Amino acid sequence: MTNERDEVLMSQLADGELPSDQANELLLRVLDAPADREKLEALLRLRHATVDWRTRQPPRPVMIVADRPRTFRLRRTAWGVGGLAAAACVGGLLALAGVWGAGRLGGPVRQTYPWPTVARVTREQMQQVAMVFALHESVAGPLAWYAADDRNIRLASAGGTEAGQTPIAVLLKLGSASPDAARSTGSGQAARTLLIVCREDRSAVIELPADSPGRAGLRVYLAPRAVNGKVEVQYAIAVDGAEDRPAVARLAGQRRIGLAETPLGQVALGDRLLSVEAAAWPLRQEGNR
Amino acid sequence: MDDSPANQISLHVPRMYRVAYRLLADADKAHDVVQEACLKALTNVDGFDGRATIATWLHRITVNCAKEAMRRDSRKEHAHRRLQSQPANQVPGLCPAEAAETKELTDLAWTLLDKLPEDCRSAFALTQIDGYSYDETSAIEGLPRGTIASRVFRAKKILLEQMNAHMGRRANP
Repeated sequence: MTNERDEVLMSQLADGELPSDQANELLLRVLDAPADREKLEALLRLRHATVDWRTRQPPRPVMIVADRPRTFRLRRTAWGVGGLAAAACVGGLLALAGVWGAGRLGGPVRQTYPWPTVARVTREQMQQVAMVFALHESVAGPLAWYAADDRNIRLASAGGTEAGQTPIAVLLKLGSASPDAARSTGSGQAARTLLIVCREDRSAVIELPADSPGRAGLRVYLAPRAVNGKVEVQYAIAVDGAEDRPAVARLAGQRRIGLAETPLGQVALGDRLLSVEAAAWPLRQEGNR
Repeated sequence: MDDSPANQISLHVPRMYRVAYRLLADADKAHDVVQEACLKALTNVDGFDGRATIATWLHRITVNCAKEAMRRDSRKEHAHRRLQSQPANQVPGLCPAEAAETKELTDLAWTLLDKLPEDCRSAFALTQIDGYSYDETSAIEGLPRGTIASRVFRAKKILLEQMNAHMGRRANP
């Protein structure tokens, strides 16, 4: 039967690009002609040979930062309302114990907050973080990630093999990079600091929506991996503007980070310039000491 | 799922990854390129005028980002070898002998792909490797669908002839 037009149709048939009626008609003709059957089989085999390439997926999730913050939900809610209450209790206990209270965490410009002036995370601070994470896990079970700033604590329970992955702490600091702010408050006031503990080789997507006027919503994607005592972090960060200036600033990249604060870059948010810095360390390293 | 730009873009991520991977032959770099392309797309979403489909728009951004990455990194010449060394075909339902044969065909097809005429190679890669439909490929290439179908067929015909010749040489050295 075949002329080149029919062969082009067979090629389209093999690719699933023919309308069904046309495909049926062509198949009826092909099945009657052994030579055409062979040609179609060869085309189908070639199509089959490339299925691996067409189904290839990214090795890690790709972070696509939404334009507006979504309402935060626990990623896995296996431990439900009871767990939330328990986590809140832990937060309260920690505050009472003076381990990780609001006073330590501080507000956007609170001078008592220790992190902004720290260029390198100390062993004491690492121990505090390890203790906070362990306490939360003792109440809520294994965690995929834990995130806290001065007003919010967010948790996601671990599933599958996540709990077996090394916890990695990331301290993320967003500060004003404008010279005016630096002059008025000394060296670079902290607009927002976020402590995150997530799992090695697992990505965490964390949302901290704006919960008060003048406070920026924050969305963070982290995928860390411990490398020679440091942490190779792939990150994407989005910061929302204030209500009257609904800009979104984004920053993405990959850095090797250690205990010393490392600049991740700067983001322009409307007429403001924010600097983003981070320190990171594997938590088990600290726990084993 | 809502129809926010982020969600719309997320639907195209696997294909963007395949495009980047085909051009860069490095899983991590391809991932980074897709990440960068997604951010660029979101940043410029207001500039998407709807004349192109979102698939072709994202394809353009991905290719541009991949080209930038290639300029930054001269590993392109290793792409061929590294792509061939991917794990064996893991299509479910194949017995080991069929899987081995399919893997051999895949590797051979890839080896021969570079020898195709440029117009055929592009149409073949977009439809058979990246997973674009003929209509999407037509939009990306700016050519009629019939031209794409014809070029894809020509590419397949050349590949099959060369593969048969290769197999024949192997059977009768």
